[in-house]
Amino acid sequence: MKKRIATFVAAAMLGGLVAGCTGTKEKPADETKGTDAASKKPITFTWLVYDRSEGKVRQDWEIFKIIEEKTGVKIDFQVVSQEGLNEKRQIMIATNSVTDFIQVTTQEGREHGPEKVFLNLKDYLDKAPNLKKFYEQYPEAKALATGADGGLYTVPVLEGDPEGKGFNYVWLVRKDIVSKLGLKDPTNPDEFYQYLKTLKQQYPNTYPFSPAAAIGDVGLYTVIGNMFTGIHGFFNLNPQTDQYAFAPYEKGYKDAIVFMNKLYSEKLLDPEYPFLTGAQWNERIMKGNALVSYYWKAELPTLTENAKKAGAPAEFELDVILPFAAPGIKPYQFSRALVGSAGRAISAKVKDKDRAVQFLDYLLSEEGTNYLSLGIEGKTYKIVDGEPVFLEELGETPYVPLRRDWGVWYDNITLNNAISRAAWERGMNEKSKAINKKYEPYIIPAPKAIVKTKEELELEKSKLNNLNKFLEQKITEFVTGKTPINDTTYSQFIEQAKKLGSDELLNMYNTAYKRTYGK
Amino acid sequence: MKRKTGLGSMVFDTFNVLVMLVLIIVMLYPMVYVFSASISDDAMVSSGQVLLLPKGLTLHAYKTILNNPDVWISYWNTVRYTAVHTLFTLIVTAAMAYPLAKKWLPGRRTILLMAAFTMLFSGGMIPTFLVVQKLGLLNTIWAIVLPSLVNTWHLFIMRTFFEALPEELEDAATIDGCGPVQVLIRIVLPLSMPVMATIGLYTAVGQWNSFFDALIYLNDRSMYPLQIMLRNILIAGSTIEAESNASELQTLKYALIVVATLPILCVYPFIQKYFVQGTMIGGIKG
Repeated sequence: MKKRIATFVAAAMLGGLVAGCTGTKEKPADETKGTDAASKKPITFTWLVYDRSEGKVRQDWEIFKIIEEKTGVKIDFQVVSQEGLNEKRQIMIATNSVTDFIQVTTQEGREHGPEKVFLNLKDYLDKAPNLKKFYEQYPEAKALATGADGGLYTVPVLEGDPEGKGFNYVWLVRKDIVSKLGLKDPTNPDEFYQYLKTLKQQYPNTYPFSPAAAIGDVGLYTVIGNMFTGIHGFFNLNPQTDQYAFAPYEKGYKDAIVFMNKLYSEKLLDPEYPFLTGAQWNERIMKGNALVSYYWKAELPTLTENAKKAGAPAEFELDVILPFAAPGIKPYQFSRALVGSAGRAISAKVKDKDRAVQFLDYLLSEEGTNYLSLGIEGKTYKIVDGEPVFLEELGETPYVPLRRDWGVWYDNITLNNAISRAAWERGMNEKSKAINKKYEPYIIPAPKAIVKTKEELELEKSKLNNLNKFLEQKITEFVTGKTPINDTTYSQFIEQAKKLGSDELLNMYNTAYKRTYGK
Repeated sequence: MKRKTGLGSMVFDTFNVLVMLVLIIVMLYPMVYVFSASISDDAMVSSGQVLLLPKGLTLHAYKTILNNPDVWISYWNTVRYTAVHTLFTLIVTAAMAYPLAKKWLPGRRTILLMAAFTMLFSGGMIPTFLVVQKLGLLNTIWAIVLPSLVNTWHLFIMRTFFEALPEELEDAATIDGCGPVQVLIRIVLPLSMPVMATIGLYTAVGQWNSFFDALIYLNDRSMYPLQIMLRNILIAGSTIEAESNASELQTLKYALIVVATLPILCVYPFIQKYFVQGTMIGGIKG
């Protein structure tokens, strides 16, 4: 059996060599990618995907027809529903019956790869130049793919540009109202308070500041906490010290709580912020009951358009204000992380391992990446000044038609969201471009992903959730005035957080971070 | 018909009617809202302007749904699974309950205990999945139908019902030359229609509403039942994510709910008496 594979591989490589020598047409310098007969023998691989709301998975997407022509590989998509994806994947892993190609979290890859659920890609690096290049180019991805036994089990999906410039969130304001009142953009929390106060005076029926959530990336506690401490979220890397920090330990955190409490008690903050649903928040913005918020920048055009359709005044306009922070704190926003938390894995039971790796390698080549992330040149994107841009007829949110009609930029299929996003942003309208330009100085590269050991994960699993719940609840009590804020209550709050493991977790993050990146 | 009405009973009646009216409103409002939202303009719905009556009348959502072949495929699947499941459940449960209703059956107690054991303990999800997988049932209708074919609870109800039937009838049939199977089919089952209807209904409703088995055992979109489709459209997109499809229509969700529940709404008034009966079966009647 082994011998046969070896012969086959040798033949395939020889074939590749010959094909390379005869120097076949169009696509020059597109290494190794076989036009050779041996590697084009038709073969079918299964691939787990889910249907997105933009459009369901199709077996006849053009890019896959082309890919099949070039590689001889036919993909048989196994489709599950979006909500069932996690359960399905976990059952597949637990019963060792994963599809040939599957997207798992890199964590699952590291845990179950050594248990022979996923193929160890390390054994194939010599035959997979693009794969090898990928791991060399992105050490962070390599760290995330490496299991305890040193094997490589996933190809992590790229999410952000290596320079760390792409970002997701902006301060959102009702530009029409603000400019009517002649308000100046706030540059620190006090000015922000005055800003909201003026809005409230002029529009007493509104709650000027309506955050979309209490926690999470666009959550109130995250945003205001960051404003006063320079820490994004509860636990995160402090970009100033390159060490992990726990925001409530920082000296500005109490001020942040006091500040939020002030906004709440003077009715400048939406009193329902702790339990707003996405739909309710949308409604508030569209109806003009909320005038300031913090949200995904990509939603700005859609929100405006929907609001106008729902009868908002013609002058309705959403715009951004620049990030600001308390004195002594540098305002910033982390870019999108370079490497996401999910990666593509191959089943250890795949019938033809070499072909599977070869196919994965093809998808990682420039040609393959372009098909999965950009589509077909001339049909979905064009090259402008040497850079790909999506065609204008795909509209302001090109990912909808791209996913629906082309299978491009499709979750669980693509391996590189970063170049899709870059191509999208290059083609944006002037306003969006201006927003990006304005925010650019504030964006710093996201913290690199850390790899945790089994014990560290256990610790995180057993503590983090409870701690987060406690923090959310307690801070909400402080902000809404259920618990008065003074030195005693605040130190009780810190004590309790310590009891729930904040010290251990903080230590763990720092240790894991140092271990992963050897600092 | 005249009845003497005292002040007390008038107060009670008024109160009663008011409470019932409130109850009706509470029950009816969500349905009316869903219906109104399904025929309203999407922007009106997502901006919260539709409260009771539809605004900006449009049938766009229905057009989208009715033109979506997946809806019909999954509808057909649900009907198929429900019918097959109910039919087989009735046959198999009756075939098991009938012998167990006979006191003279050797090992009756052991079999009953073993059946009762499954009410308390199960193999768990992963082992069950492995069994289904090894039997080669994955991605077939049998993965949905077979694992949950006999519900122990229903088995016991049916057994109790069979036990209550007069034995003399069966004896008479036997004297006339019926074998045990014939007795079951010609005598016992016709007399057991109430319990069959009840168990059939419960099984059918359970299967109509279930999605989890389909979620884990099926891999093919063309096999999915309606509930998976519903769950997908209703829950998906409710979480905030990057580059999500914000243009997805809210009204679509409501229209799908209407399409999915309308047949049940039409049928339910006619079969609800069986549900009521069902709750009585097995209970002590006094």
